[in-house]
Amino acid sequence: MLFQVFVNAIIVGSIYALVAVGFVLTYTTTKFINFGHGATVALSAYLFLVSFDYLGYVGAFVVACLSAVLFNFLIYQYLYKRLMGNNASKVILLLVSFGVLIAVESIIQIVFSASPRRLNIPITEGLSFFGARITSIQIFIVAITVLLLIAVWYVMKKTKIGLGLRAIADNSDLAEVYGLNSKKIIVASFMIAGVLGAIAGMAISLDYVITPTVGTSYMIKGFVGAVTGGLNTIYGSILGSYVVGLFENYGAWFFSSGYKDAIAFFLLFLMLIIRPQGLFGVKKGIRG
Amino acid sequence: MELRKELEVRFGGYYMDKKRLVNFGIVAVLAIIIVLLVVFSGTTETYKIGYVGAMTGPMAKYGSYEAVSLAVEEINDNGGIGGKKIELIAEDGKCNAQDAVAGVNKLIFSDNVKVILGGHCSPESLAIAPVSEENKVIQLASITTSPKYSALGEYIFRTSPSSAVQGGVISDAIKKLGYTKVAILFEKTDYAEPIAENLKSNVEKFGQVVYYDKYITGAGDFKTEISKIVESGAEVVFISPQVPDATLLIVKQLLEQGSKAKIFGNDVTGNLSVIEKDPTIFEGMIFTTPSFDANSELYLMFASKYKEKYGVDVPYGFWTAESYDAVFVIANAINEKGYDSEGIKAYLENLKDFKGSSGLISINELHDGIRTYSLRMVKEGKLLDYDNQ
Repeated sequence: MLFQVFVNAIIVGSIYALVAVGFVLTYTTTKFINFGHGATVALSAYLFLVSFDYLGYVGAFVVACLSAVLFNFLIYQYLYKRLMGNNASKVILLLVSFGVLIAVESIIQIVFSASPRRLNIPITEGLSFFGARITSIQIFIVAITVLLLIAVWYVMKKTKIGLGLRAIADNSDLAEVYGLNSKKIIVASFMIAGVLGAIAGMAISLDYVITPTVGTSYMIKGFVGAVTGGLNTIYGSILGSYVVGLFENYGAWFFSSGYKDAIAFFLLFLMLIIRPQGLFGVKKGIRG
Repeated sequence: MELRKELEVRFGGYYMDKKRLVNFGIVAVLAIIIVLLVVFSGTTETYKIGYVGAMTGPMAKYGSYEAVSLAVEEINDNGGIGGKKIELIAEDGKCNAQDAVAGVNKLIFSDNVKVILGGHCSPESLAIAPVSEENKVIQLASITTSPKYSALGEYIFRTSPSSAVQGGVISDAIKKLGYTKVAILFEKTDYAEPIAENLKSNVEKFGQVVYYDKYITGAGDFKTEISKIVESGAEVVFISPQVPDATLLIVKQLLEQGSKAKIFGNDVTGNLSVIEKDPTIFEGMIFTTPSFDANSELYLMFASKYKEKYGVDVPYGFWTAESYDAVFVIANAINEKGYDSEGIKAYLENLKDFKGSSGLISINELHDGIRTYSLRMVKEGKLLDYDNQ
């Protein structure tokens, strides 16, 4: 049965990781904590769920993805960029991004009502896997996350845009001196974060029941995962999210389910005190 | 400007130009409005009734504010109470102690109300009761079933029953079906936890509670809780949420992990809008509900008025209806005893068989509403009385 708990932790950890990875990407380029990423996730979760009935899996994902990219682009271009141009501090940007999250959640509530919603697919009993139960959808979610981990590694290490991202993260002034257009790279990071947010939203829609506050709850857990793993490392944030999932679920198994959130935040405080750069983080710049 | 000055110099005196005239006009109109307000507020005095309940947030969907406003409007349209209208002063308690207490303080100390309708969920009602009691303000709560609310004070009443009753009804049904191993998963709130506690002590008389754990409001994943339930070998799973949203996810994840346990729920789980969307996964779920006749004349009248005004069906049958009824109980009390705490208190203490849309309302010596619970079951996507199966 302990293996079932491990499986549970990996499933939910994958979801946290999918949320964390998008938000860490924009953190590395802009150095502010963008809670608005929760809005991107919530928006795509709802759009995926609603368009699924008409367009099926692929169509719904395309809708969610395009809307998330467009949303992130507009929010960056017309809000964050202007604020950054006015030399707004990181704290102001964080607060504004929280505002974006709350505003989008309220709009979702007005449009889709506060009732919990579930993707219109039949519920199937999980497959037996070494004594643990896991549904095909959950296997898909874990697989996607692993693939993404590899893809992110590849993009960061082997492509030009990855190099640009790492250069901007390391020292944006120096990168500009060398002829990189940091504005363009930041826009690109927001748009890629949109795709990642849409994948996270889709995964949540597939395996959970969604309510308008879905963005906040997963954003917070993803944030804890990212801090645990290291805010400036993309694969660190993914691994950190799994650590959060494991702590939460083994905590619920050995102690009580009521302490799940407490355990996650305890982990956050512990990391901030002992190892502020995160488990896999570096003190300066960006890794992978 | 030039002309005015010239006129003033040449002929002396005070000339009004257009601008001064407009300014004078505005001042004059304001003065008249103030005088009228003073005069009219003297003649058309109102009965101030406070309201504390969730107007926003996840509990707002119970529609208590809508129901109360509808009742007030109805009473006022029919001439008010003995010619005086009701003035409803509403504060959003958001189903939490903090907002409810802020609201009740405003109602009592700033608006000077003598009667408060609310809270409209247990965490609100429990938090505001000491404030009402200390200031001798009548508090008539609805949608409040925490056993902790019983006998809280002289001025504290409710139309709802104590939820402890539910535990007994469910354990009887479990016993009758011959099950002995019960898992209990509850939300840690003043409403949901006492039901779980009560069921636990009842089940332990004939069987075994193999799993008993809480979760925090807003929890978004129950996989490991469910793994634990599956491993415990429970034949019955009882779910006791406060916010109904969790029910769907818990039931879904139970099925995914291959649980064959019979599912029971408290009265919150009987949320028709959720069940209708997913009838198959709730098939066979048994839950409690306050016994009431949804085909009674008074309920049907209330339902049609609600639909007419808000364009939606009454969201939570009995609970929305009792919030509506509470206004009429208070209006009657004021009509008989005047706008006076002691008088209304005496009226409520002796309330017996008041005809409301939620059924007959009586109040017992603990100041609880006297209601009974019965069981319902999801069968082929419909909610049926369980006893008739």
